[in-house]
Amino acid sequence: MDFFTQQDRAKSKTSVLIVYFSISVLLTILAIYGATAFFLTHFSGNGRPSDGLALFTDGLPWFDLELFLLVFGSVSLLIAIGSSVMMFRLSQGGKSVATLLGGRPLNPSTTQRDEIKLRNVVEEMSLASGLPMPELYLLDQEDGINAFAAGYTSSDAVVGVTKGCLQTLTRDELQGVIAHEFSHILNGDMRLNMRLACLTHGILFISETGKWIFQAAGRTVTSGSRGGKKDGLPIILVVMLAGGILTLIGSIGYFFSSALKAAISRQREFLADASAVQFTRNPSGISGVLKKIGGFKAGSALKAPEAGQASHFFFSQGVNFFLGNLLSTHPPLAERIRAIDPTFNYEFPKLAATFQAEDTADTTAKSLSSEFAPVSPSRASLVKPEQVINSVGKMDPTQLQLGQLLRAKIPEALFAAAHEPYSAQALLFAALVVDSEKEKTESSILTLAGENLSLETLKLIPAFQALPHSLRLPLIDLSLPALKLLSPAQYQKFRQTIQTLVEADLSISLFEYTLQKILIRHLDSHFSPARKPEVKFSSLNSILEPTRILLASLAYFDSSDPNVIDKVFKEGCKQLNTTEVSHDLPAQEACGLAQFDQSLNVLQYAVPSIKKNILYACATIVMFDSQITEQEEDLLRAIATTLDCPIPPFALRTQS
Amino acid sequence: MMILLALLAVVVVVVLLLAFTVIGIYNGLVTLRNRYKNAYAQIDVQLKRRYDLIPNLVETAKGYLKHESETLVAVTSARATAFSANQKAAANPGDPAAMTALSSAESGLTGALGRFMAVAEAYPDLKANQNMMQLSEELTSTENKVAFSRQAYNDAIMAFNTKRELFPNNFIATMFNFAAAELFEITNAAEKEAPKVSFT
Repeated sequence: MDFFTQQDRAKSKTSVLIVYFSISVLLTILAIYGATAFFLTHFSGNGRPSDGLALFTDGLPWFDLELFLLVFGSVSLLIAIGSSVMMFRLSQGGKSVATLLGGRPLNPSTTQRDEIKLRNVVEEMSLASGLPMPELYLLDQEDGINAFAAGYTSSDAVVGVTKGCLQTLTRDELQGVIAHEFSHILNGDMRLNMRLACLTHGILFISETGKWIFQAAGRTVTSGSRGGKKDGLPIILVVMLAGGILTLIGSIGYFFSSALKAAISRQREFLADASAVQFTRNPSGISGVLKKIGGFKAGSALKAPEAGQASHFFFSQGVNFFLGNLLSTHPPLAERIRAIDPTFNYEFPKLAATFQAEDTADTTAKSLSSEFAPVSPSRASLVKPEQVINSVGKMDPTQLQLGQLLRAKIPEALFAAAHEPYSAQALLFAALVVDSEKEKTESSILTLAGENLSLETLKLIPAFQALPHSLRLPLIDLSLPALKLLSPAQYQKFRQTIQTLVEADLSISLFEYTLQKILIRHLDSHFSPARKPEVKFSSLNSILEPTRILLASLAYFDSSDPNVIDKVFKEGCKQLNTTEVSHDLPAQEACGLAQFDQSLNVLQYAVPSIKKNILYACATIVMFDSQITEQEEDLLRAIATTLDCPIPPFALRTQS
Repeated sequence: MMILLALLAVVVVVVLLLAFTVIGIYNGLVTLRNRYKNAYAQIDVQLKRRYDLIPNLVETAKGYLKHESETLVAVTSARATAFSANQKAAANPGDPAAMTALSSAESGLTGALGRFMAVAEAYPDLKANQNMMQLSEELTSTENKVAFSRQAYNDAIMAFNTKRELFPNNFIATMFNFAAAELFEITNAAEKEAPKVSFT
C-alpha cells in the first residue's frame, strides 16, 4: 500500500472513529442516566431504599423522558465543551502535545552526548525518508522507556523521547524506536491520534470537572475553617459531594474512552512495528527495545498527569487502566516481540534501575562509505516514474544507509553551522551566493545583514561550493530546526534579507525558488500561527486548469523543441487518469514561473489520491527524455515539498 | 422548573466562557514563558563555549605576556565570576536577581577580554601565533553568537512582559504567579576604562 493510499485510508479511519465515538457517547449517557435514575429514586422523599432495587426487578417504568432529555442535554454539552477545549489546546499542532506532557525542546546545538546521538539518528532518518526534520522534545521527568509522535501535518510534526530512552537504549534500538514513530507520521496516524485526543477529552471532561469542583470546594473548606466561617459548610459539603459524584460518573466515561482508544490504536501498533523493522532491516533494534521495556523496572510507564489523555500517541503502554490488557492502547509486549522475533521465549532480562547503555561509537557511517558512493548524475540511470511514486513516504533499508552516508558526507563545518540559529542564516546566505553571481550577492549581504553575519557567510562559502548539488537542499532541510529558534523579529529580518537577495539579480533560479518554497512551507507556518485550511479539492475536475498549467510549465522547461514539448505534455496528461482534462498545450506566456507557483499553491489542497496522479504526471514529464538535470531535480523537490509528499533524495536514480 | 433550568444553563455557559478565557490567557503566558526559557538555553550553549575558549587563550598568551600578569589574572577571575553567575541564571532563567548578576558579571568579562585583546595587539609575536589567531577568530564568532542569542532572548522577554502587563492578563498573571522576567543586557565597560599598555 503506497503513501497516498495510506493517507486516504487515514481519512476513512476517521469516519470509523466518529462512529465509535458516537457509540461511546451514547453508552456513557445511558450509563449516567441509569445511575442518576437509580440515585434519584433511592434518595427521593417518597421512595424507600428498596425502590432503588425495584428498578432492576420490576422492569421499565424507570424511563423518564424529561430526566433522560436533561441528562442527554447536559452530558452532550459537557462532552462538546470538553472536545472543543482540547481542540483549542491542541491547535498549535504537535508541540501542544509535547508541552502538555512537560517536554523540553531539544537544542540543535546541544553538547550532551546522548542528545547528540538522538539528533543524529533522527537526522539520518529524515534525510533517508525525505520527511522534514520533526521538532524533537525530551521528557526529562520520565524514567520509563517511551516515545511519541504528534502533529497534524508533516510540517508541524513533533517527536518526543523520554530520558529513560536516551539512557538505556543503544543506537540501533533508538533507531528502531524513531523508525516506528516515523512510520506513524508517514502513515497518517498522527492526525487520527490528535482527533482521538480531542474526542476522548470530551468524555473525560466530566470526571475532570467533577475533580475540579471537588478540589476547589475542598480548598474553600480548609481555608474557610481557619477564618471560622462555618456557616457555608453544609453547602460546600454538598458541592463536594456533587463533585465526587461527577467524578465517579466520569469514570464511566473514562472506561468508554479507553475502549474507544483501544479499538482504534491497537492494530496500528503492529503495523508500525512491521514498518520499522522493514526500514531498519534490523529486527533486533525494535525487539531489543521491547525486551528492555519488559525487563526494566520503570518499564514504559509515564508519570506526567496528562499522560492518560495522550496514551495512544506513545510507542508502548504508558498508563495502565485497571482492566489492564483489555483496554490498553497497545498490544501486549510479548505479542509484539513474537511478531518480530518468533524465537522469543517470553522471558524478559531484568534491567537495573540505573542501567546505562554502553556508548556505542558512531561507526555506522564510516563503515558504509567504503561500500557506497552517490553516483554522479551523468552516470546514473534513471528509475521509472512509478518507482518514484512508490518511493514517496516509503521507508527502505537502502535509503536509510544512504541517509547515514549523506550525513557523513556533509563537512563538519557546514554541519555545525546548520545547528545554530546564527550560522544557519549564514548557511542559507552562502547557498544563495554559491548559486548566483557571487560579487553582487556578497555586497548585498553586507548591507542587509551586517558585517559579522557576512563574514560568517564568507567563511562557509568554500565548503558549500564543494558540496555536491544533490546534498545542498537536504542540508538546508537539516538547518530548519535551528532557524525555528529565531525570535519573530529576527526571523522577519532574515526573511527580508533572503527575499532581497533572491530578487537582487532580477531573475530567479530554480534553486532559489525551491529554497523559498521550503522556507515558506516549513518556517513561515511556524512563525505565523494561522492554521492551514484543510483539503478542499476531492476531485480533479475542480482543479483542471492549475494542473494543466503545472504540467505545461514543466514541459516547457524540459525542452525547447515545440514538438517534444507538446508530446511530453500529452504524455503527462495521460497519467492524470481522467478524460476531463484538455490535452491542448497552453501558451508559453501562461506558463511562467509565477503561474507555476500559483498553480502549485492551489494544488496543495487536493486529496492524496489526486496528488499521487499529479506527482506521477510531473515525474513522467521530467523523466521523459531519460535525463534529469539538477534544476529539474530541484523543481520536483519544490513540488514534493509543497504537496507534502516526502521523496527521498536519491529516489530518482538507481545506485549501482 | 424550566425557567430555573434555563437560568442554570445560562449561568453554566457564562462560567464556562469565563473559564475558557482564563485558560486561553494562562496557556498564552505559559507558552511565552517557555519560549524565553528555551531562548536562554540557546545563550547558555554559546556562553559555555566562550568560557571554554578563554582558558586556552590565556594559556597561549601566557608565554608572551609575561609582564602583563594583572591583565591575565583579571580575565581569569572575570571568567570564573561569569561562569558561576551563568549557572545560577540557567537554573532560573529570567529571574531578576540572577539575570542582573549575570549581566554585570558578563559586562565585567567583556571588559576584561577587551583589555586583554587590546594588550595582546601590542605584541606582534603573539599576534602572529597560529593558535592565537584561530582562538581569537573563534572567540569573535562566539561573541557574535552570544549577541545574537541574547537578542532573541530579550525579544522573548519583552513579549512575555508585555503580555503579562496587558489588561486583563495582569490579574491572571498575579493569580498564577507569573513573575516579570528580566532582560539580559551587557554594558560595554571597556569603553569606560582605557587599557593600560606598557611599552617596556
